[in-house]
Amino acid sequence: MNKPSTTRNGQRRVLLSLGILCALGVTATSAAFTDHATLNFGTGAPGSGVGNPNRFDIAVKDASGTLQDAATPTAAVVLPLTTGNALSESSPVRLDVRFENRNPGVPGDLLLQLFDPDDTGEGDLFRNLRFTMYINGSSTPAVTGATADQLNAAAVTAPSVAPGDGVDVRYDIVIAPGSGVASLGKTTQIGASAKGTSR
Amino acid sequence: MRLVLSLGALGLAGLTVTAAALSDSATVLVQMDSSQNRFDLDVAGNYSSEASTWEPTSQSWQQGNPDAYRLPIGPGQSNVMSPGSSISGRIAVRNNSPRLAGLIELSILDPQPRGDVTDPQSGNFQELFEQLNFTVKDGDTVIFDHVPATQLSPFAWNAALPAGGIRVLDVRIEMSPDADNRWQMASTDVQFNFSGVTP
Repeated sequence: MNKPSTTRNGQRRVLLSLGILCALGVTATSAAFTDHATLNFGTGAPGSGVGNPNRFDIAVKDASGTLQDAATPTAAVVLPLTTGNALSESSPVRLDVRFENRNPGVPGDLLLQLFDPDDTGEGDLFRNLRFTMYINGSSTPAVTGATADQLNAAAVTAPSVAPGDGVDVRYDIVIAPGSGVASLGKTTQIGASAKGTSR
Repeated sequence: MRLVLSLGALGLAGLTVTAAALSDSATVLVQMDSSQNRFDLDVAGNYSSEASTWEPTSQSWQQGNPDAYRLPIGPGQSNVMSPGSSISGRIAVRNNSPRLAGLIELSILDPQPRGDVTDPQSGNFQELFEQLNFTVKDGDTVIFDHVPATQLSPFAWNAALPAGGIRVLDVRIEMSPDADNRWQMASTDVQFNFSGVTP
């Protein structure tokens, strides 16, 4: 009768000593050495790490050579024609525009587009105009004899314009052949825009 | 009577022997030398045009504790980011312990989170960290694969870094292509935090 109980006591002792071992093991783990080392990109000051400290800002040069934001059609800069004052089928009027990527800023692509600020619908003189576009003084036109819609569809882009750089755009504008009579006495405005997309 | 006496004499003799028992002692000296038990992590990094082939030299290592090691921007590189752009560099961690291995964990953190604070003038966000995606490679093993900053969790290597061991990591930080003009002029610091514990 006594013997089994002794064995039971013995088992209990074994279990107890295991328990102590486990506790020791846990203690040893939490008492490990630790260290950390940190590497920062940036000083903590605003703009020091990664980011975009400067605004991406496209501007257009007005007649006096000053950069204007002209971010909406209503705020557009009014430019004089470089040469010519009346539209014809044969001799083009010439418009020079300079768009700039303001410095400091972000390099970006400039998409050059045309629009009619005073569109009166069908029969508007703007729709009878044909545009030939030259980029940065090139003698080879980027687009030749195109309507505004065709020119916009061509999506002529000045790629990767650095801050402080810009793009010179020259438009030679004529009336579409055969539509001169229909255009008599009509006027239109011509809007040019550069849509910037940062790189 | 004689019998009884002799028994008594035997008993006495037995007592004497017990009292004069042999005794001995041995001393064990255990030397506890902790001079080699230092546990220490170092960091190094490179952000330059040579970063893709950079390997740390003995001069590269910085303690990075308690002050973070500030990774300099190398020649030909900039910290300017625009949507969809990325910057790449290399960082490294070394277990500078004389003989203790360490389990290393990497956390990527924003040391100065600014939340949704906006610039009073422009109305733009100031904090960029949440708009960043991280890619980290340990050799050919990709640890983080375009992980958005909001989903980053610490990464722990399974294998301990042996004493003197080095891990060199390729890091690529990309600004989310979905970020828009609201994050113009936003910036952030990026912190790479290595923490180690002896197993």
